[in-house]
Amino acid sequence: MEHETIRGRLLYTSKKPEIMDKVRGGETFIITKHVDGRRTLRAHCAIDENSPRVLRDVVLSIDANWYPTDAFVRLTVDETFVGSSWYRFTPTLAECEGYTAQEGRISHRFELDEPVRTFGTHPIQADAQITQAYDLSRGPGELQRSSTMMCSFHHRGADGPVLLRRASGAQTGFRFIGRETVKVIAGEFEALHFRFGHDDDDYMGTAVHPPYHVWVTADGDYVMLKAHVTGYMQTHYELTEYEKRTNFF
Amino acid sequence: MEHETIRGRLLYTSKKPEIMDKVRGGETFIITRHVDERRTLRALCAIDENSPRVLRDSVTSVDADWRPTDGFVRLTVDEKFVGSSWYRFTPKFVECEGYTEQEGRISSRIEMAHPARLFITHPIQSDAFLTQAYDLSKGPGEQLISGLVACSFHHRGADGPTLLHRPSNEGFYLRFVGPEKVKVVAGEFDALHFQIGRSTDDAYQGREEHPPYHVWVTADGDYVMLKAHVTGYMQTHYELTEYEKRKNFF
Repeated sequence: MEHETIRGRLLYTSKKPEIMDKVRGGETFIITKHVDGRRTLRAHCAIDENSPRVLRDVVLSIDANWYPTDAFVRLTVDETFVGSSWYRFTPTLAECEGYTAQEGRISHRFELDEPVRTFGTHPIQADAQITQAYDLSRGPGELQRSSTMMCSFHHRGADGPVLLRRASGAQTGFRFIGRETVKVIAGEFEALHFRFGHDDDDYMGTAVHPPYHVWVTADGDYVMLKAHVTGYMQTHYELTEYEKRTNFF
Repeated sequence: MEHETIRGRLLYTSKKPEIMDKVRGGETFIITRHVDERRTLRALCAIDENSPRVLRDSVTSVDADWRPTDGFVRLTVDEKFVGSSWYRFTPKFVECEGYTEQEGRISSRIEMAHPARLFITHPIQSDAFLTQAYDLSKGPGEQLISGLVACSFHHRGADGPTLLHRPSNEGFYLRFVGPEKVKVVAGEFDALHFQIGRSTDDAYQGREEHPPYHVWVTADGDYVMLKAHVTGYMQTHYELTEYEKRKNFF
């Protein structure tokens, strides 16, 4: 029995007219899919444009049902160390041990009524994996998620990393729009198109997050093919390298 | 001000006559060298041959003097989760928080008389970093390196990851053989040739002591592993097959 390895590279660009297609940063990732269905994602991400310039390491593991089991997040912002934290999830507990430049030594523990469904750590590939929570047999529609935890609520994930839980009742939804064929630099793929947030791509306000469209592979691996945040953000993400193979080399 | 990124890939092969050049596994790594000289090494390593087959994630950071500041190690052995642990180093103590299948939830702390010099987590590129502890101004010779903290003393690093410490009067001998030119799949480089361990008998086939471990690292101050060879009964070989060094990330 052998595991599967997926390697990819995402390029972050802008679609703002004044800096059209300018490279903002990027991400390299490696996913291991173990023989028992567990997966580990390692992502190394850089937002290299104006401050806060974020350099992020994430190692995030999930069980066969895509529920988080453990994780590590390390952050550097504007070339300065910000924090390094470790996470562990059980059906009844979420805990975090870490050290951040702002908070010092941290030790967080949440008793849970239900297992954490998704743990937000901010790599673009980790966003892609969140869409796995949608039951595709329902066809296009909306999913409201309640059992979500995050390492940072900052829109670039530029602080912490700590352990944060959405306030009780707060729900963050996303919509499955449908199946599409998508052509990116890394190749042509059968894709699933999802959208986080509201549906007004022309909304230019900053009071709420603009729509976040993501297209992921339809092969069950949920690899990010491309993504686009509309509105005032106009950020674009595209898979430029892709390899899927048995074992490591 | 911009940081530097080094990406590499190492291939693990055997030099045993019966499986000459057979691929045993490999390693991909990314090093960031920050503007203040701090460095972070992320390595994903796989030993894919006979049990224990190890899949290891290691993210370790060092300060401008190459002393460890924090780390993370996650292990899968024979396709089973073994453990996931986090480390923090201060001048006075080292701590570890983690969970392993064998030990359960672990929380360890070791008070240190002196700051830890090296944190051993078992990636081959991490071994290359160990050679930075040698004072090159002394020229070729042998130096005892102490102040070691490790996540595992297993020769493949296949257990834990926990927090282990060698007493300050113990360490390992590091021999600087000299500068050499080295040609590997990734290119030709100016190298520093070191030997880890005290034994110099490459023909020794016993198992009572670790056979000589030769490593060649870049001579540019980054200590990137170019090739390595464990002689004796092990006959393991490691070679850099891909290499990229650039400003910033992309």
